[in-house]
Amino acid sequence: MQTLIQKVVEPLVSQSAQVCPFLIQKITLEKLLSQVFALEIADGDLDCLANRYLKVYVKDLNIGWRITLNGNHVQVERLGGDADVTISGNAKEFALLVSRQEDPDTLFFQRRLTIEGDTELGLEVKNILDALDHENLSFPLKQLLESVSHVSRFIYAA
Amino acid sequence: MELVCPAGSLPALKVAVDSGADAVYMGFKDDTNARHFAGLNFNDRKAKQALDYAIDRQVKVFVAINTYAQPKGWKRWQEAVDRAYDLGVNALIVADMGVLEYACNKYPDLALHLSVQGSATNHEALKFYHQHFGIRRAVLPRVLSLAQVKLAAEKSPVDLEVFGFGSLCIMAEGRCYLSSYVTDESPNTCGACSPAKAVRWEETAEGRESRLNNVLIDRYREGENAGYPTLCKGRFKVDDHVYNALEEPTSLNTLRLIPELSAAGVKAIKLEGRQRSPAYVEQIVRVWREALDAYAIERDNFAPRGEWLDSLSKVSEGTQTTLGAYSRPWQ
Repeated sequence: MQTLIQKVVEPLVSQSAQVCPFLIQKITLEKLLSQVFALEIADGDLDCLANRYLKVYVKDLNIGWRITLNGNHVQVERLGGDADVTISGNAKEFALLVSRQEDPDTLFFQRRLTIEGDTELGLEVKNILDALDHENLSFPLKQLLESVSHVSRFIYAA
Repeated sequence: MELVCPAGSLPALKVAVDSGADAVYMGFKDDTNARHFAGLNFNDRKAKQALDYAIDRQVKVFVAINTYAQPKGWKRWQEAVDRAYDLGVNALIVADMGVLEYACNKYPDLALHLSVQGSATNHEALKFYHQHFGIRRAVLPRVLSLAQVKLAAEKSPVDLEVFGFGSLCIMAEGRCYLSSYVTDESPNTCGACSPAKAVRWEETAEGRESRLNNVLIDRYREGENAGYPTLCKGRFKVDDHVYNALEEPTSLNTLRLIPELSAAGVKAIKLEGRQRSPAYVEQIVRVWREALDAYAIERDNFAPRGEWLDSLSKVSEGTQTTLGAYSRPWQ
């Protein structure tokens, strides 16, 4: 099962992600993140990202983005360029994180996640993610998270 | 024994409550608590939601105001006590005698617990805090052996709480200056050991390098587990030998001491980790709930189950667990 995923699913996702025009990734992600973090943006919790860049890099898929806060909305930029902090790991680790099946510190201790650059900014973003109350999310977003959870449970169950 | 669980965020608190906590402990978003990290802890709105959620489900809420008040910020510590009282929390966890005095004079009906940072290691110290500030419970320092815990419990005028699980440090609770030595900030004064702004990780050809205020404290080779970037867990060259000169990254796990702690009269078990995610809280609370429930039924036949230990090892710092100081046979 694991090898099947590695041989078939991951290259497929990787290629589609790379083929998918950046503008579409940008629009989708910006809309999604602005919705997910609406409360946090209103509360000023995400101000730490104003004029600062978080780089998220999914190593095995070779995709990633630079994320910043522009006024009241999340802005997504291409990978190339400077970032204040970079969080990298494989797709599996990000899926487990987003669906709250794994603890980020555990992944970090086990060397499955790396944080380079401004550690405080990285920690703050991690804590904001942890503090996100999934119950406040809209129904489609909850469903999206559920699917990530199910799919990652299914394909990464080792 | 009461199960006291960590909550650094509202989702962590909810998952602790849902997984079987008897009490949860949390802190406000400032340096009045010893887990003062960016993005962590509760503002007024979240604290209110947390209280509602826990109390609706008959779970107690404790607020940690457990740093040492600084001359410049005394008002912040007073306000934190006032805020916690107004919220209607079940108890405050306090270390500083000034804060204890303020709280017990202003709110005589508010339950006070002596924080582990207060470092009361024997019944005379416990008696002192009880007499002067009316504390109802004390969290014992992790540096005590089981024999010492028993001794303190025999004559303690207050209920005792001990640490059951979580990252271990050098255990000079409330008196550790290692973080201050390198970064000028410590848990006692600023609410953070090795504050994140002083930490830099770099992935190099030789492995992951961990620096604290530009001082190299460790280099983890490929495949080696990493720990928190604290001075006590670093590897240093001593007499031409590079090793964990102070201690290895490790977690305390006392599942198998449940019968002895209970027999000693310990009233509560505390799980560490307000800085960890809801996923961690869910895993450790679930295991400890099952273990305490199993002990209530099995009593003398109680033994920790393999799956509990595996589950706890997985989320441990350094992925190894020990009985810590509890097991020191030489005392």
